[in-house]
Amino acid sequence: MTEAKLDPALLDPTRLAILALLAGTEWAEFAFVRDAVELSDSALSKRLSALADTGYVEIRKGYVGKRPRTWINLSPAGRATLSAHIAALQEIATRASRPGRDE
Amino acid sequence: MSPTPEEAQHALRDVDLRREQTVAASSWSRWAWIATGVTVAAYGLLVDQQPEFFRSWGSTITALLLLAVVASNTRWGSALLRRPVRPRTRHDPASMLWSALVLVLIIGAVVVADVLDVPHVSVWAGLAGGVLLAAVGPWWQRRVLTRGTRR
Repeated sequence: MTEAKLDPALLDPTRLAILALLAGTEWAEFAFVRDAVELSDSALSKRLSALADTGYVEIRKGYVGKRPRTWINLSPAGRATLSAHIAALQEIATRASRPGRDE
Repeated sequence: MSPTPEEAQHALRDVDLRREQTVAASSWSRWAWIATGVTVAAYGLLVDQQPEFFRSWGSTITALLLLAVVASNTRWGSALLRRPVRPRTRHDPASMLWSALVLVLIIGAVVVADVLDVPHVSVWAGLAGGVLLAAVGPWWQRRVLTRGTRR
């Protein structure tokens, strides 16, 4: 079972959205992630660089024909962190629906 | 700082939305499944009506189709097919067992029909396979992809 643990980096909704998109994939094209989270190329590049620096995503560049392409995948560390973060969010959300909660 | 329960619920809803986006991007359209079903049915008809053609080209066509399937799972092949993601699938022993059972039943039925000299076996087999792919393919695909993205 995944241990629940919030990751401060994933409290940013855009970073969480990027990792959640990648969670169901082996890899995704840069353009797909850019369109899905509605960011510009440069804004997504910055976010991805930050996520790559923390070891959460891996970026691979290549060519299809003469066109350059960038593929992104979630690293095992990123996958574990995302699972723990989601488990923590679920705990917090569940607390709200429990009777007799502290308020 | 820890998010409030409302913020956590909102974040979880967004995670689910992102996973739906991944499933949508990974899926073949219903038309692609219908086209595949029609191709399989046409292949069965071709085997029945043009046995000479099948003897000459059958193994080549099968090899090319297998190559296309393998290539479509590479980054290069996916890009050519305009499929921007490769879905992550979870191996579920129960599902694999059911798939194997359906495959064995289809192959068994074709073999039995052939032994009993049922006329136009390949036409019926192609038709059954084609209808199965066109009708059940999208449902099966969604089931597999949704399981792969479950949180």
